[in-house]
Amino acid sequence: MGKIDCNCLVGHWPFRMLRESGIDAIKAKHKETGISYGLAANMNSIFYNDPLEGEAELAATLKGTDYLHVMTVNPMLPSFEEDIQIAIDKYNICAVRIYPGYHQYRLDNNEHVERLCTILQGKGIPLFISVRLEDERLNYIFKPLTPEEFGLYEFLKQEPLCKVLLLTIRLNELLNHQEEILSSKKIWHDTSGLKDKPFGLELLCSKMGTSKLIYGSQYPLFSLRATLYLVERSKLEESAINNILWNNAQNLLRRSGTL
Amino acid sequence: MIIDTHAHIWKDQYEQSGDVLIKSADRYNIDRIYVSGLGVLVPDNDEVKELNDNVAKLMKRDNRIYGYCYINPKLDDAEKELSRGIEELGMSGMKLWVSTFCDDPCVFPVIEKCIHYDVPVLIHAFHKAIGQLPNETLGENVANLALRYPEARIMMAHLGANSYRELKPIRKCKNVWTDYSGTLFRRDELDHAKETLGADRLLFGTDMDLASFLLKLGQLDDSHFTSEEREMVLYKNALTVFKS
Repeated sequence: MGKIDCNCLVGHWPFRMLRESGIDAIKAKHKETGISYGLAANMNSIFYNDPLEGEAELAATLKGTDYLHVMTVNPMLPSFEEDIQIAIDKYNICAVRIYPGYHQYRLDNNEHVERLCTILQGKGIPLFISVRLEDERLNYIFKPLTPEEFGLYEFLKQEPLCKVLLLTIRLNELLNHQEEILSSKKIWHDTSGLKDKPFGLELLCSKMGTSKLIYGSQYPLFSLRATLYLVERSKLEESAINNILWNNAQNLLRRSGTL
Repeated sequence: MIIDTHAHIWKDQYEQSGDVLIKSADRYNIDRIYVSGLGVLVPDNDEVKELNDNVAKLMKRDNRIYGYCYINPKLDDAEKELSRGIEELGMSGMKLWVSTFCDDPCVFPVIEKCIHYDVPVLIHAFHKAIGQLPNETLGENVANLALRYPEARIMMAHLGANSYRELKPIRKCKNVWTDYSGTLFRRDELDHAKETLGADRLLFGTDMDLASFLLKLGQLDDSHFTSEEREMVLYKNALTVFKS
């Protein structure tokens, strides 16, 4: 069975130099570690005035590869709905990724976010929510909103309209909100935030099962092998590891035309 | 061979913390784990003594466990407790946390004692954008101490957290090594640390039971280190620091 990385990034990160950036570096890392392909977003789109320009860059970067295009959207910008339709038509996007911490808006009681979720539900496209990109203790130039400040947990309690993948959510955050996550059929989460505690993955899976967990590295910001080792060298059953590395991503993305 | 130079057991969690360390050593073939006991941020004499006794108990339980003598240098008994830790409990070094900045003059006597005993000192150092503690040591504090005591062997913990800021002050201090323990695992940190300090000054550490051995091994394996440099980080540099 193969492996998918649902959280990889191309582009420039403004706060430090990345020694392994770009699609070739990602492909090489994935090949070394047996990962078949990834779901890639462009970090440039987070910071561009017009994120759609970053999507054109990303489409050109991914052309001719097996990598799937994750579109970055800031729903507080006008005409984001049209941008999504353009990206669907031109770039065959597999998901939309948002950064409420960086773009400074709340997820709950926000008509723009509701509109975004309604559109994605209609299109059968999942919403990837980037809970954080760096450890908060290291954000010393720019301080994004924390999950509490952007209303993540209130948003989850309301049962999202569309499928949602939480990226870089931490172990304790998951354990503290497992009720909302487990009671919903639409919420998944990735592995890139599971850095706390020895045997933390086993603990998480014993509490929350393995049907909601999808391998994501947030490479090249984070070490890919760090989180891959947590999964592959755990004492989880082989079927559970296969779910995390492959099956759950297939279930999340399953819609006509994506896979 | 693998030597973890940075791990903890926590006050009132002796059994759980100790079990995690030993389970990790068994599962991942860790040859040595250097452990200190921690509790409140600024402990009194009784707590320091209890924490060190717990580490000594764990050392007796498993011969892969080596001990740091944890010290609050502000306490009158600090030198006496350090002597007890090294001479009676058989500990291998001293651990400083956040009782005081490491270049505060109250630290000097215990550093001199470490020099006398020929043992290294592990110093917590952590630059935070949020939640910086009042006496939390930074790279410049470590550098001040290291320059005052060039004969001391000093380990700065966690790459100082914000390694891009904290490693530069210690670059000139050849008696300072640094571990990359903890839950930070940015892809480029170790390459940057090697370029700044050299592979011979980097130490493997986990910060168990807060972080996982696998996280730190994966981070090392993702970095651009030769197999010789990888061995230096995993154990050879630790053998130099601990002189055994």
